[in-house]
Amino acid sequence: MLRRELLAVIFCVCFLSLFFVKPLKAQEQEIPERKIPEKENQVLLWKVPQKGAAALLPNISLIGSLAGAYFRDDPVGDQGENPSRTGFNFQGAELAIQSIIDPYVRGDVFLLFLEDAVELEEGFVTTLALPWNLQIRAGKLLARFGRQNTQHLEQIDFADYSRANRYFLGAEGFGELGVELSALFPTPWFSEITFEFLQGVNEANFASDRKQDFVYLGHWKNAVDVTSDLTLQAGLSGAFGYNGTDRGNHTQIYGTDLYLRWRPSARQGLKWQTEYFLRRKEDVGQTLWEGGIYSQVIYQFARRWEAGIRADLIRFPEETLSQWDFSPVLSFLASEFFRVRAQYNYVNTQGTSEAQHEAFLQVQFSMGPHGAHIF
Amino acid sequence: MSLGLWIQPVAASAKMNVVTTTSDLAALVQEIGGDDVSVKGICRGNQDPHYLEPKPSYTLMLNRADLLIMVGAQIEIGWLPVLLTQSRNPNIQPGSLGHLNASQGLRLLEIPEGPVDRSQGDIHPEGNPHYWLDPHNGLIIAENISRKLSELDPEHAPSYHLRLKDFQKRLQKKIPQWKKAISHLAGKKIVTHHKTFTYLADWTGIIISDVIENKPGIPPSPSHIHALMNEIQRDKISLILVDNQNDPKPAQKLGKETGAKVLVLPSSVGGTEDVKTYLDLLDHLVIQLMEAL
Repeated sequence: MLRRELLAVIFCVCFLSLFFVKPLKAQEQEIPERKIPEKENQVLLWKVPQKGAAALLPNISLIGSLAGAYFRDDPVGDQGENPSRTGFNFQGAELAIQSIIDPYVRGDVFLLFLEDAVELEEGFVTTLALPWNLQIRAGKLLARFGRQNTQHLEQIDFADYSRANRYFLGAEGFGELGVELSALFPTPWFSEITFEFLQGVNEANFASDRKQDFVYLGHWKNAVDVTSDLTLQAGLSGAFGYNGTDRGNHTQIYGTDLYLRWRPSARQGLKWQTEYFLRRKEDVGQTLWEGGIYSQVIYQFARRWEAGIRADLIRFPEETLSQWDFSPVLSFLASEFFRVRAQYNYVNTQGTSEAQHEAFLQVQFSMGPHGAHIF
Repeated sequence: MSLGLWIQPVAASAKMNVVTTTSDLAALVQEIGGDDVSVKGICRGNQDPHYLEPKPSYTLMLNRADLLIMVGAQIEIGWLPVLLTQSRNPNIQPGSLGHLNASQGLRLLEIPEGPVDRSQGDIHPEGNPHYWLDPHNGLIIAENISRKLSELDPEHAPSYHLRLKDFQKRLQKKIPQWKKAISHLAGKKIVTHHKTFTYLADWTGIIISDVIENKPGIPPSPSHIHALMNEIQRDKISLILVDNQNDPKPAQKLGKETGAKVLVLPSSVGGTEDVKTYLDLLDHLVIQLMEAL
């Protein structure tokens, strides 16, 4: 309850601050129209404020995603940021507020504006000056489980998250309040180990109502440059906690991820990403084992064009039942800040007579200086 | 061993570990630091420093650096901040002793006037960042580097100073020679692809009449190409310059239609194989220009 109020306050402050930013900008744009004769005046009017107080403002950026969608049968339930109905979908607007706070920490807050709600997608502080190659992040985090779960919508190269990721970690992703400690090993290649201590409210896996039931997560990430144009990255993940089916019922999820990146020039490149999930979930009177995998390849064939394909396979606990899908995608990246994407999903669930067809046309835009994400 | 490297100040016996964002800065550090430092550049000479992808191996380089030297003017804004955060290295964060913006004390060109927004493409509010292509700036960058190296490693300060003086002497001797070699180009109009060669034009007296990529980072529109074609023919422009990180096709098409010569040039050390030092780079540019016109 308190958290919701806190969120409301943060939202209000940010929303109000938008009104303060806008009139200022409008004023700046009016200056040339007023035809001030001396160049010096113009410089004074718009340059001085930028170098003064404005220089200390945090970076504010907004990334918006809209999609037109067709579903043979509209999906049921909360789809998170994924398109959820035939027709127009507002997938979300991610407002990022980022700043170095002092010589010791930086802060990153990502507020997600959905059609009828505002969520704290992530909001954390990161240490910059701990000894022994350690780093702590604290706040609301997208858990470092595998690769896609840590990525925001604008990073995933598709209009929706992979079905395997959604099935095992939830349609909204695996984001939790908690603390993370990570260390970089002094090895010749990049090797980083991460531990997370999380609240445990993820409905798909860890919604226990006992107050002592937290979630523990470990992730080991390794990356090596095979050649100067080719990078290979591999990771192992494990998350452990209690689920809400009954007192003391455990959930364990294991994952492995593999990512290959080839980028010989700014005009050509290849990304191949594969993740495997395995879940053991204790339920009332039984223990369920489920597995799933997705693999996706994106090929950049021109400066502004990418084409790709993704395949998912999920094996449900009920004996032979399984689901697979297949998603081709084509993206036009007009500039670094605007892109249009077309995607088709063919979903085949064994035991159902007819296949599901889905098609998306997505538009993504980015305002402000929001920089790169981690590799 | 590397764990301990950045906890203590630079140990007397260990070489200082310098990481630069570009190969040009690495080449200049090599000139000043010589054998007393170990230097690595992140962006290679044939890569575009605007669009580098932040790889884990770069994080590792920064993690183990005693000094980071950057170009600044927002050329690295797309990839350096995330690497700095991940590096876990407090010594090279902005504002720390081990962080140097090489553009200190330089007069940057093309600082946008009036309100800035991205309808103008991916512009740099602080000015054009390709400033190393002016040898007069090279003198100042070298001085910035020497001062920073001496500050972090006072023991070797006399050697840094000697190498700086030697480098500046060699460079100062070259500048009039270069100017003489292409003096016939002063006042001539050319067209370039990106605003890479603004500083080169500035000190050689060449006039950049127009750029193909008139909005940085955005491919030119057909109408702009058409206007350029007319401009080239009207003003009898005979040379189009393209840096070798960009697509030469629009320039080649223009050249074919108008008869103007297209010259693809490196804009950084390592951009072509024979360009190994800062002086090589300017030598190469001057010779190519001299032979082209």
